Amino acid sequence: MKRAGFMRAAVLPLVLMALAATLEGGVRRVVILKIDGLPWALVERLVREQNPRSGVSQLPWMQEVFWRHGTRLLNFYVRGISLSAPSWSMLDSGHNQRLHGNAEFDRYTMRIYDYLNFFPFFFDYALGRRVDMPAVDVLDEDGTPLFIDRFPYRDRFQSYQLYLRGNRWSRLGRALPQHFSLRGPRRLLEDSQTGIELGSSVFEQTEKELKEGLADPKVRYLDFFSGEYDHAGHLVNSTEAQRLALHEIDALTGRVWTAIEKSPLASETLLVMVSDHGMNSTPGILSQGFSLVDWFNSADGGGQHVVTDRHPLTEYKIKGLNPFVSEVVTASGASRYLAGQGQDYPTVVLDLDGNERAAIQFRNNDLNQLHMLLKQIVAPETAPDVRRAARRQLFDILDRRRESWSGNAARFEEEIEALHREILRQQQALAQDRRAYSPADKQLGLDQPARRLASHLRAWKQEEKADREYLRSLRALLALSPDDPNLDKVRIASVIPKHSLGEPNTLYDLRNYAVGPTPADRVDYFQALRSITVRNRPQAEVGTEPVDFIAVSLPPGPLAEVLDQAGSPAGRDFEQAVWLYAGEGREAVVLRSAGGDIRYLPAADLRQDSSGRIHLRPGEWRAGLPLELWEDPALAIGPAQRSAWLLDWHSETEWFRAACGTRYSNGIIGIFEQFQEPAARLPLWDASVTGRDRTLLLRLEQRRRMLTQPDMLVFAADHWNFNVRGFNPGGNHGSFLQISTHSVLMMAGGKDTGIPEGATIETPYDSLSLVPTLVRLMELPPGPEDFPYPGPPIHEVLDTAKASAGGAAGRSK
Amino acid sequence: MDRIAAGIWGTRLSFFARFVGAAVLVASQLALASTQPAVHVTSRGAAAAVTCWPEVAPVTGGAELVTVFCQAQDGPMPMMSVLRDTLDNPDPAAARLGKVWIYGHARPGLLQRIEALSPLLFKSRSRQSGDGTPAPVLDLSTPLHQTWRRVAGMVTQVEVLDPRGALIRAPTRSYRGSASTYTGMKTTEALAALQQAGVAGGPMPDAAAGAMPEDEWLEFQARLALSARLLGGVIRDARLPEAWTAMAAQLELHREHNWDLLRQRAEQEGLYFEALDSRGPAPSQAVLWVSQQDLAASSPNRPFNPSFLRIGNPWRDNRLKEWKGYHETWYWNAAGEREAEGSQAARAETMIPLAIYSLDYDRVPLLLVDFRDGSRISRREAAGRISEYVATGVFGLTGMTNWPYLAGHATLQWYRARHGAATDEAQRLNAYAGLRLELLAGSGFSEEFRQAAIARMDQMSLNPFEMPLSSEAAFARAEYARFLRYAQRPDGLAADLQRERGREMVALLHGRRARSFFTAGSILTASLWHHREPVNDVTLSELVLDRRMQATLDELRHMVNSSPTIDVAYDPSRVRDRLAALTEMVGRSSRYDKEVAGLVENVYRRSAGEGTRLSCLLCLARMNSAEGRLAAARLIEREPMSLTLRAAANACSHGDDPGAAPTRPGPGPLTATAGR
Repeated sequence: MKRAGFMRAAVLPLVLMALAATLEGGVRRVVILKIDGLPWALVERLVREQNPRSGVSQLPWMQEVFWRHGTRLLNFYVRGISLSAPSWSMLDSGHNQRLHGNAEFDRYTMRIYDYLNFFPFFFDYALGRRVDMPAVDVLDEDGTPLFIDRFPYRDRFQSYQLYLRGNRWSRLGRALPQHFSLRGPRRLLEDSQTGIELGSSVFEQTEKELKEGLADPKVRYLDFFSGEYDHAGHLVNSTEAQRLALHEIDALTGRVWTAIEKSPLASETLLVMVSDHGMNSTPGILSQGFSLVDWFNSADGGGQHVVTDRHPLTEYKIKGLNPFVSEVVTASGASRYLAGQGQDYPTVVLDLDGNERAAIQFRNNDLNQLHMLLKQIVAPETAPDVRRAARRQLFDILDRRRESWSGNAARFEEEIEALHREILRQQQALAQDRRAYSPADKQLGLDQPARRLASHLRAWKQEEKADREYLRSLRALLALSPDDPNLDKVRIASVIPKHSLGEPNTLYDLRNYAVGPTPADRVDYFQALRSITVRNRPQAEVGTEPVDFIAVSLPPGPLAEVLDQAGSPAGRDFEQAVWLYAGEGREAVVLRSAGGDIRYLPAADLRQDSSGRIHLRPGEWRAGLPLELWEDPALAIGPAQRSAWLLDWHSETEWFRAACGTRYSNGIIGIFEQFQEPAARLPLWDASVTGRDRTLLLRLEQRRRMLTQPDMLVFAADHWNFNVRGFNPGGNHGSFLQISTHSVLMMAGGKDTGIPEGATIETPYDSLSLVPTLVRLMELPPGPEDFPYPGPPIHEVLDTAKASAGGAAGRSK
Repeated sequence: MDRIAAGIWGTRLSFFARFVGAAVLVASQLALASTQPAVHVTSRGAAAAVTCWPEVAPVTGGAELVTVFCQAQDGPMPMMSVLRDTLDNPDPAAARLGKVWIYGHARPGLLQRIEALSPLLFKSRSRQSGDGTPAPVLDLSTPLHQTWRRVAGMVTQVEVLDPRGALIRAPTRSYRGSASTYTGMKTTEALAALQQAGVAGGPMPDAAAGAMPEDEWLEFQARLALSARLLGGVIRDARLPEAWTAMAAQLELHREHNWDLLRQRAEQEGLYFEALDSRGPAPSQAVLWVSQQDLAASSPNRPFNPSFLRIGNPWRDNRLKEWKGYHETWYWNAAGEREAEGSQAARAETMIPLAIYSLDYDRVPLLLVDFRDGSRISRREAAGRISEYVATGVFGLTGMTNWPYLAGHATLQWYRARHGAATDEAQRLNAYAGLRLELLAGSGFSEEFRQAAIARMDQMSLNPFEMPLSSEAAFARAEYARFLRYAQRPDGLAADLQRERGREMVALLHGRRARSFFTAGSILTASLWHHREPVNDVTLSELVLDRRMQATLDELRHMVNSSPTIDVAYDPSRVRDRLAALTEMVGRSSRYDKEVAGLVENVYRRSAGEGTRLSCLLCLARMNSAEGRLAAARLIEREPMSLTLRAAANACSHGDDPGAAPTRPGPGPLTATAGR
């Protein structure tokens, strides 16, 4: 009797909660179709185009689900560069960019953050060395939670994607047998003639599991990632091939929507389709590649030894088959002081992914000069007077840098010590946790926190080791003394850190970059890159200059001084400044205030001297300035007011509304997202660290992000790309061009979700708006107060959903 | 060596083991076929400067002959004809594509046949058109037969001829190789012409649309393309669009990829890149030029990387400095952009063509013409062929008899291909055929350039079955004239048409067992005897019905498989229209009742439209068969229905016509809804 009473007492509240939840309506479950690179314009066009064979739209399911029964955003843009890893980070977390490329390199240690490579992840996962994809690890270490983290492991279904948490081997294990079991022998024989696509078997299995998840009312978050369109869009320009890829996505939409309609939570399920960027693919115009690796290797490019994350021309190398490759050095035969030392001393790191932009890190210019001088000093054939001069110059540079480099090294060492203490602490905690996890526990993901901690520990130890090595070399360099009689016997490798780029470069360094020992061996990389031209022009629509413009971050202090002097006063304090260079006289400086307001100033002859002072002249308004705002007819500011409007401070929202229709869409906002100073939080799972160590670890995390920042970002001209792995004539992305940033966001829901039917939203929104909208629709807790979502939710959807939910609640009462 | 190899790997192996070996080789060929398209497929996106068009001529007995012509320099050149048997019925569903004649495909003379027995004799010679019955190159109505013939030929070679020693093995292999590459090349040329005349995405030209419907063009192209693959015939008609799309997409991918590769390589080496055809974004062929002024200004030590280009260093080539061969003058404006001849203030520059490349080859531009060294390519090709001849023909080292050889050869080929070597002979041949057509019928370049390129191409020929390019057009015209004479003879094309219909009727009137018996008889008599049904008005009308029924079923099957809800993916009126056509036919033939019932039941389940569902029920009722009634009963049992539908379904399951069932307010009389 007592037992029955206990049962009633336990079960009744659950039943009541379930009942209440049923009566509440609203969105209880979300299904997100994540389609990489899906361009807005192509979807809109194909939905309106009739398929002559079927007599209905080319994309009938998208039309049915999102056009008739859902809501579409007509102006949804990537915030920042149009590149997968950074873009998905915002779409998946709702927070500002923490990653700035698909691959990033730590300047000090050349540690690679390879966000796109699944093979090492699967391999390490199998060995128990890793739990999440690298991009997730970075967000975790940074304390940025993902939207999916709001759902317990059991209540979510995640497909394979860049921000993958954990792995389910069963999916891979079942995919292949399923592929063969679904197809009869005749079909397999036919496939052998048309091309066997085993890759599709993983998608088929994922879809099957997604449908199983839909049938389980406990599962509240499901997603399906597809990179097929992006892949096709890069490779082939043919409209037909791209249409076929979209047909697949359309059919998938139909199958998922049908499964949702049959699922137990149909009326409260929200289906979202979102893309991370568009694709600069214009029918009839092939994207032309330009190899920056070859250019940097050449004498014109400075004879640099170049690091990339993959082999150039991968498909023509046996080494290209190695799926674990994350770092490749392409040595130059034209290096003027490091011939044959490419593997030890790479001097340029290129992240070319997306292909419409290149993030470039150069080895520190002073480090280059110190290296050259040391080589002269230790070379036995150097004449004594030359050696003396070299010594003098060496210590001039060292003395100039000693204070800042020593201070920085001391701070870094402090941080590493804190990391070391944290490693010991966590090791102890891990050692005490001797829990054995049953298969059922693993099914519920209970083993993952401990595995995750072990994985982070492993990474920290490696980082600590690499960091200490770098510091050791730096300390040895700084310890060099002019009084040392054995200086000409010093071992260069012990004082010039191998495989390291050292400290970031200044604008002065980049305009006076030392590529050889003589004063003539200096390269102004802005001019040099911008003046690259090609002799062949096989397409009238594509120009002969592969580089559009270059962007670098400027130090706000020196810039404020010079702006006041130049008669273009900043007007208010600004915390971020970026110089955009499209050629001499075609320059602009964009500023962002602490409050987030932005202004655009044309500039000319911007330079920095060796003391760090910046010089510039106010530029004139003219066509061809970077971002081409002044002449763009789509800028929502009348021609008469343009100059004044652009010069004035405006909020991000005002800029977004005015510029989203222009050729470079929201590039002026995106450029700040790209160069913003990282603000780290301590990992959520490690909240126990307090006091001084907490500050130091936060600083270390911030440093790590800073060290991955490029010295400069180079944007490709329209229809040009910097791909070197292979060839991407179909199309590319990575720039701020509207065709690359304009993305897709559409949603449709069951009758209780309140999602407006047949609605379109013209207000511009960007990547930061998706998660806050979903959080509000699903009535999830808003998240930590000190870490709110920076983007606005989509009010048009929320207002209708709220009104509808109110109506539904009224009806149910 | 030959004896040792044969001893170890050939004679001592049991037949079973060798059969397994043959199967593995077939499988390896399959794998290769799946990764390397073996045919040249051009796409409409890259409309070449070749002008081709179809013309339709009636054939006695209710058929049409669709002939594709291309505009050569000296007038229209017939490329190919296909027999389109319409059974004298206006419904396109009743038409069927049959035999294909390719006019440039010459039957070899005795001399060519003898030469083909050796890989060292490969001079191409002009030939005269014969006066016998023109032989079709393939038959689109029986694609599977061709596949079996090829497999049988291969097995015969391996199991019967190869073990008889080098004296039999080497010449037979050489002969078969020459014959098959020649047919492959002519088929590729024909396919390229067909593409220019027909469609591959995008709007169809009027002439092509008038000749036959789009789906038949697609079938024609796909079958022609697949005919070059060993097992291409196994692909069913329903999967042809998918197969064709995959091949076309693959080719597009190669072209665009190679376009960018060659452009970048030209840029890096200081050369000029020009598409041979300037109309499409990704052309089939491209030319590399060097400027004579650049040659004069450059040091002979200027570095030159021949990777992917495969030509000699132009900066060190003294012949180019005093070049007497073909050259052009190009004009540039001050901005470095090319201008038309005679433009004001334009800078003139003498340009020398270095090479022509095909961009259709997988992953690498394929060098086809080297203007400085006419025999470079043929030397390379001949060396490869001879080494293959020695290894396979003389020493008997084939993949089926020598596993280490297979492994070693495959590894070497893979390694070379991985480094950009053009190792696929079929693809090389396709690329060669593509350029031949371009030079025969292209109009994007000067006559002098054409002649210079043709001269180089003729030096390249390595197949004794081939004819010089310069005599090709005249031969094709003579062959076409011969074919027309054959078509006009009472015992010619019309009689052949009736015979083919008689063969088709066999499947209609006889069961599987009887058909197997007929097939066995045909094989035993070495195809001298074929069973054929008599053709008369009654049997012809049955044939019309059968073809229409099959086409309608195919279409409905496609609709059902395309989407979980048919109403979304297809215009419901089209679905009802097909159901109405089926309804009209099911009353006249019960041959497909089981299939119809299953399919219509599926249409019903996947549609929510009352009109479509009523059409389904009407169709099931009109079948007037147990299958139809059972399907209706299942629907009643498992599917939710409105009153109208339930009444109709009930009538149906009892064998009544739902048109007579009482209806609730709905879309109107059943017959009206279902029939339109």
